[in-house]
Amino acid sequence: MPDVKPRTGLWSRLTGRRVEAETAPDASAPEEETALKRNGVRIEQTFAEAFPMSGVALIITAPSIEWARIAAISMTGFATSVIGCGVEAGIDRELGAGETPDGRPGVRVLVFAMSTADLEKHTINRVGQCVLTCAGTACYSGLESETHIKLGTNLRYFGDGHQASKLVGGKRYWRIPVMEGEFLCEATAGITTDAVGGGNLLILGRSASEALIAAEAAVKAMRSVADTILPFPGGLVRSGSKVGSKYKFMIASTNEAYCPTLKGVVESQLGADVNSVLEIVIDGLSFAAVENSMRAGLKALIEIGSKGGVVAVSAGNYGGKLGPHHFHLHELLP
Amino acid sequence: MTAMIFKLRGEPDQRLDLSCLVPQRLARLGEAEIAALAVGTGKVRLTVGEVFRITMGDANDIQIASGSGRFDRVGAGLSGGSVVVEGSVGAEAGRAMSGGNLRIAGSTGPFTGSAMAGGLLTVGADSGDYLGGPLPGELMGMRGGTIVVAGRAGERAGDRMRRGLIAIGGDCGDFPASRMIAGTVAILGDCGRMPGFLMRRGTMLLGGKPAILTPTFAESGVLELIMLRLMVRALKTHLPPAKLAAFEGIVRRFAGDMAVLGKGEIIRPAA
Repeated sequence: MPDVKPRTGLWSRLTGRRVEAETAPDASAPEEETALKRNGVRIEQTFAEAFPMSGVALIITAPSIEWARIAAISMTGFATSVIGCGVEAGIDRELGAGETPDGRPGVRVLVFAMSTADLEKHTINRVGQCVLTCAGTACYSGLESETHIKLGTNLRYFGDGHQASKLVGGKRYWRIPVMEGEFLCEATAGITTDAVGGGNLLILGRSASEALIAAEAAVKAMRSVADTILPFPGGLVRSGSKVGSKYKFMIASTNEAYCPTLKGVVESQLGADVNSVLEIVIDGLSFAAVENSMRAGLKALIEIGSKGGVVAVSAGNYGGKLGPHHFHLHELLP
Repeated sequence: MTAMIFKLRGEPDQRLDLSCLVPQRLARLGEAEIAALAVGTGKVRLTVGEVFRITMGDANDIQIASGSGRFDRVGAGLSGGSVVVEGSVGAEAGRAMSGGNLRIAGSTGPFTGSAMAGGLLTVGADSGDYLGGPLPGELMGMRGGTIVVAGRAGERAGDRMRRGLIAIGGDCGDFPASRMIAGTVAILGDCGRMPGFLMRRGTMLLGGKPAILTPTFAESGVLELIMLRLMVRALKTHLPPAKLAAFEGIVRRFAGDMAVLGKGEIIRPAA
């Protein structure tokens, strides 16, 4: 979602905010007089602009971590962007047996959507298709909250009248008979409406291979930050997009200003020394979580430095007019 | 602040209704007003002051320093705070309580926790018949909260239970979980005849053996139920963990009572 630069009313529809005017992503353009350098890496004086989202955390357990991982990967598949997938989802972290409600190994997944209604609809679909069907799994709420979405409460109907509920420790669970035995699912899942989607870092690399190595290191560091996910494949986006296209049937298209092969062809935002750009998009359950993740990513990129091919680090924004959450890179420097 | 203590002057010559000795009743009363509260149930009027020596203290922390089989309705209607009895009591202890903590160090009589809706009731020794059950004419027994009996329970524990948890550390009499509507009854020892008789929904965990298993229960296999892991975790705070471990493995499940709705279950360790 956040890698899309607004030119039409799409963001207005998604966020309920009106786009006052077309905004160019010039905030990430090289500005020698305002950029800082760390270990040879230019840190642009700009900010990532992020949006409020609804987020839910689920704990998926299984007889082994392998099966919990299988269910989690399946459930969070095809969930890179709310625009095309309805939700953004990913694995937060793996949990030991001592950290889960049933004492089995588990995985905590996070799902984000632009509204609580969307979050409920897509989460139920995904748990129903990918966790209920997966051998040995059970599914629990992974977030204590006063606000909830339905989970087992709706999935129970798969039991065709043979389902049974159980109240344990003040929480209601649904037991749904399946061919393997029984699928256990908490009735509701706690959510937050203070989640933040669209934190981002743009890695401007000397070459594609160096940009990838640097981005991998940043992703590794950022994945250790709790309550966050990097929803794109491998945590990376290579195809940052802008809203709209010359083709009327396309709602988003390539962000040509950041495409190295179009330098000299279009009005490029890339300097002569930049030949590949990768983006890392971050969703988190709170502003602080996204901030910590970006800080960890910046630190990893600076450690690699210009010798490792990191020319600059920038961030995507919409001029500050759309998203209420701004993550200024200079304030996140280690 | 220290507890408000009631010390028995001598064995009462009639049964007492001690439902007035709960925090919500005593909170705004002075010593003289508390002493004047009626507790007798016979022809002769009897007051708290005539039965107990009162030491004033925190009304949210009530201690009855000794027990008697003539203490009926101890902690009845309790909605918050704590009531502790350092001995045994009579009938209807914790009847219709909705919150708080009632701890009886000794044994209790029939209808302990009858129609209870919330809170924690702990019995240090044995309890009588109809644990958590309804009084005659009532449609529903226990509807919430937790009852823990460290020792043995009498007949028909959990009769017409609607919701909540009854945990019994020892054996149990005939017809446990009879006419159960929903909820959980855990018995670590053996039980008498016909467990789950006319049970509609709910779960009965039985660590030992039944004298006679209800014939209208259908065996539904040897299973590993993840739900039991959660239930055992909750029960471990009340019952000896070593005796509960068997439920975390493979169990034998009996579905019933098929004579009624048949959505209940009796679960026993498979080994």
